[in-house]
Amino acid sequence: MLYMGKDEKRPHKNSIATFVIHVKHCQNSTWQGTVTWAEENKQENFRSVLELLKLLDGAVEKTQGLNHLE
Amino acid sequence: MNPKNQQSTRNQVCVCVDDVSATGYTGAFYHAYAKDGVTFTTSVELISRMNNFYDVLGYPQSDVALRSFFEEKQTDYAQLNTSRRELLAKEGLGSPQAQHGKIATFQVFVMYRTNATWQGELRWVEKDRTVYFRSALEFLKLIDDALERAVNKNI
Repeated sequence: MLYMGKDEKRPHKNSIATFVIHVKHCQNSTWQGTVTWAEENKQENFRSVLELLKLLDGAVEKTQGLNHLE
Repeated sequence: MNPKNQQSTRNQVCVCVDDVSATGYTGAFYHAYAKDGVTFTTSVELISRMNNFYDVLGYPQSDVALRSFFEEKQTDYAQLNTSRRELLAKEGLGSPQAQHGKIATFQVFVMYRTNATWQGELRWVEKDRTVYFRSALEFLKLIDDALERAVNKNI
């Protein structure tokens, strides 16, 4: 199947951030579930793909902002 | 004066896709409050920047505030209102209905922002096709499908 990759649980080398996304429901033509930011051990619920993207974007932006300071 | 069959609303956005590659699509979206478009290099950037535009414009109002990983301080309404006034003062500077993308052009009318997502109408200008979308996910899928057809020249 197209979307089945190897079973890799460790983060990729040189990655900016790692997220585990658990889609629990598909209502209102979108997804609901939880997303866990692995490096910060933070978890948030999301009610839509829009909210999920905002969560991911915010996390990556913050990480990249900190990386530029190093 | 708008040509016939071209509806226009305060929050009309014209998404102009200029390039499609393996990594995604790039272009700019236009609205009525600026002559220049807002560029995007990925679909995530497109959605994110369009959502920021709707937030500042406040039309349509979102039913919920989207969550963040960070403890956000309360929305600075004074700042938001100032930004909104500044934006509204520029109404008419841009003409989204007159723009065209190199690969494809989409006129977007987001009518509601409920369930933490968007609902509205999407019009593929080159094919004169209009569909309604019930979520941002559906919006992205419709655009992806249209771009695939535009690039492969399928109808």
